[in-house]
Amino acid sequence: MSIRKVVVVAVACGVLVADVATAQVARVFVGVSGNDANVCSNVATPCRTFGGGITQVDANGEVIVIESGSYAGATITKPVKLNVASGVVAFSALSIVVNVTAGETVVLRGVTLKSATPGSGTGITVSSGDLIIEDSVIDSWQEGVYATAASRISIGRSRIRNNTLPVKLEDGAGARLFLADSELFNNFFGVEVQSGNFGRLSGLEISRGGTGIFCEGTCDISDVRIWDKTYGISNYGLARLNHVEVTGCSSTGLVGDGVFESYGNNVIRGNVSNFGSGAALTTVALQ
Amino acid sequence: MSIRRAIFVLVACGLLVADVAMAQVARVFVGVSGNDANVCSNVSTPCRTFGGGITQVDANGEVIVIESGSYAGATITKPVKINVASGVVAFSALSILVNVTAGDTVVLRGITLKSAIPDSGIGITVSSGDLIVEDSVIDGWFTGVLASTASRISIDRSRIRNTFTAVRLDTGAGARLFMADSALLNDSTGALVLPGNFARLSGLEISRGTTGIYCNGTCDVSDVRIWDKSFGILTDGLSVVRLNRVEVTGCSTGLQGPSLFESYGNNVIRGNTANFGGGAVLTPVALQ
Repeated sequence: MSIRKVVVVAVACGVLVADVATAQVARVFVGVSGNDANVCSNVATPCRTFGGGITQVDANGEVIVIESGSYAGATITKPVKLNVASGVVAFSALSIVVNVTAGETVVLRGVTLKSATPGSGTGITVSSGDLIIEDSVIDSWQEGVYATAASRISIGRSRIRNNTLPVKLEDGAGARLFLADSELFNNFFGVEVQSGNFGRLSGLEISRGGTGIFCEGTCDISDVRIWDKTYGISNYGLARLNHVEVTGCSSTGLVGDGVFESYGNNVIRGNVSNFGSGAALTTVALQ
Repeated sequence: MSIRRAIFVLVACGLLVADVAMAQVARVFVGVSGNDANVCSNVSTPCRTFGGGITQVDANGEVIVIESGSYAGATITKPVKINVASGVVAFSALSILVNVTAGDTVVLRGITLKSAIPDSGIGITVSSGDLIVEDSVIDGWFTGVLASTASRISIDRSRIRNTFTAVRLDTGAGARLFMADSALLNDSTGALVLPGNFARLSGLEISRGTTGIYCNGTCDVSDVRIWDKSFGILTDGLSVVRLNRVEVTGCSTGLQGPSLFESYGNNVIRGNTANFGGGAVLTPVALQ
């Protein structure tokens, strides 16, 4: 190619790139048949990875996964929404890091995150900003979801299983966890609301493994069933129990010297020991 | 082409169009590989947009979306049902307007509506007729769903998030909102029921933002959890709010008066910075 032709091509490409960069990109598509160098706002030419899609979409844009496949983690530094249809498995054995400006929200809908080596790594680390997780599977990590800052984390309709720690709010982080309508199976430790954090836990099925819920902060626990754990709820903070059943635990149902408030509608029964280490229910009237 | 042949072709095309127009079209298909000029009742030649499918289908017909993609809003003036399989993302950054004859019903099943610019626009405006929304995601709008007339709106198994107002019933509209089994996350206001409207809210998870339920109409609230809002439920004195198995916790103010809140004695208003504000009190009512 002559130098002149190269220059023409380079200028043309430059114009093209500039055009792509300045267009508003409300949504992009990602699929295993794609390529991150594509113009991914066209569904016929998707990106190949979460990261490729996130790079091309606007802040607050939507990254839509159109095919089942493996999509290679992501470090997310702007508020985007990853949207995977329920008929598609968007798998990743690599971690996701959420690190956006405080107050901004990332959404992960329909992802399957699974550690390549059981009990290692962190599925999702939230180091800044807020996160909504929906309809997702998080499996086999050391920490499934881990908040290290004062983030708000909403998890709904998900399955968190086979992790050492399913969800952990780091000591003093000031994080708020809203975990609803989900199953937590065979996690070794509990949902860990460490000191200085807040948990609103509702509509959960928790079974198998060491501890169901570990609460050092403030935990509102409603419509939760815990069964076949070593310890049901381990509480050194304030736990309020509303329609909670803790049964069939191999050591102790409720354990710890925190305050357990009960609305008189709970079942702590059929555990080897129902109460341990000074745990007792303080009855509070419903209103 | 001779003039004679051209006329023949025109007439033939005219007949074909007439034929397509007259055939009963109970359902059409829409996909990103399609074209709105297609005969979209054939699944192998789908339309390209919601609007193209709606134009071709009969009133009360079904518009079936068969591929993930972006489908460009719609103005719906006849009672159709948009049906998106749960394995398909039918995305739109443009709004949907429902404007059908009063008493007619539009169904939106499985759509993802997201504002291109956060906190701007209205996701779905219902200006006339009734609407059922199922299994959908509505995100980032100034108003997620707006009713401005006496419409009946049913929303279930959906997620409405990151809006300024998730669902708004305008003052005096006489609308009825039935919202069930859904999550309202990070909406500045969740359900905004202005005077003269009615809401039946059940099975909701509401958190983050300023106000969970802003009720100045009549609101039956059951099996709802509100957490981490500035106000859990806010009223203006004209409203009737009935609480059945409701939990309002972790808010700045749980229930904000001056209205009375009827309670069946099975609620939790606790662990808020202030559980009751503005003169809000619970009025006990017996279960039957």
